[in-house]
Amino acid sequence: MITISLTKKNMLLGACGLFILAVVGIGLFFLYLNFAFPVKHATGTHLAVPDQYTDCVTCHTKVSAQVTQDWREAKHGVTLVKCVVCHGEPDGKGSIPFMATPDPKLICSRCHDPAVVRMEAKYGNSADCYSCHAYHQNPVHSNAYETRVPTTQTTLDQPGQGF
Amino acid sequence: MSTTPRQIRITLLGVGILLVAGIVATAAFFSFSSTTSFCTSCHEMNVHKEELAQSPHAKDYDESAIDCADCHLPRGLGPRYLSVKTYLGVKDVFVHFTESPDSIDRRHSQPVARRFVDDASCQACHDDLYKDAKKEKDISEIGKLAHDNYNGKDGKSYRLCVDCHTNMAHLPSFDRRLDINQEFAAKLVAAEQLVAAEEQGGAQ
Repeated sequence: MITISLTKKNMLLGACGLFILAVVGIGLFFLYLNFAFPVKHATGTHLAVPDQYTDCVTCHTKVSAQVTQDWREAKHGVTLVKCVVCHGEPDGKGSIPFMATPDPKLICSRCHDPAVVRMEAKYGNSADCYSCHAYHQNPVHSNAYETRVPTTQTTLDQPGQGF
Repeated sequence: MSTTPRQIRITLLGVGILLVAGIVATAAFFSFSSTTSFCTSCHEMNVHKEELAQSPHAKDYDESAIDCADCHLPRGLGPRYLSVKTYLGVKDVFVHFTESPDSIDRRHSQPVARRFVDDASCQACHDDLYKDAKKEKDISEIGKLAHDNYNGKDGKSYRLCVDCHTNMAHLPSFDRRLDINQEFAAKLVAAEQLVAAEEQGGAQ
């Protein structure tokens, strides 16, 4: 025969148990959601079309329309700096590694080395170049709109660093 | 105060009845709140409704209207459906009461919406990936290559259908400039002009 006495202590224990169950339940829910609908998908492998490896735009104007059009409208597109110059070729040949997000230390400085050195001397090391240089005058494709940091600064001057 | 086995049995029966009633009520609420008329009863969904009406996805192959849930909720009643329904439902209610329709940033909602459009929902209609939407003509050579890649025959893509096929039913203003969306954008602009002309006519 089971008897449960409804003392204050038992009720408190029950409430604690329910709370822990709820927290664990919500945790498991999000664990499942991220497993079933991942935010970031696994990196795939590019299809093989050897004669079209340097003609990225033909397909990518359809399968990544925004990125391709951003490139075409930006300085790099206007001056016809082709995809492979920064992203490498899908077959992995050539000196540029094939990657969706080129490493600025490796790629940007190939052409913009003097500017990178100057910027680093003035402002120190930055994790990447895109977060600023996509937004203002040189919208190389990137999600600058999403990564931008609002500022209250109204002048270019930085305290302690003369222009 | 202590409980006897009889009281425990009555309590268990009560909990059981409540549980069954809860499941029935939840099922009814889930099905009611997944209808297009329920989705578009909130002001912030108007724009999505109007875009859908002008899009190629307004009607399906049999000329019947395509509902929001056909794309935005996984098919069946499994854990995929339940988790997305719960997550998006709670999120939508939260956003509805905490933000104004003008402050909703569609650049941020786009990736969220795409994340939960299941490939199975697309393939419920588009079952042959090598035929066009009407299942008559073959798709382009580039399309075949891309779908080979998706199927793992030539390389392997882990992207979802909607990661390549963007702006299928909705077209925010910032995506109207894309070359690939020109036809859809023109239809939307024409529809908007029609509405504006009617409003002006009504005002006079």
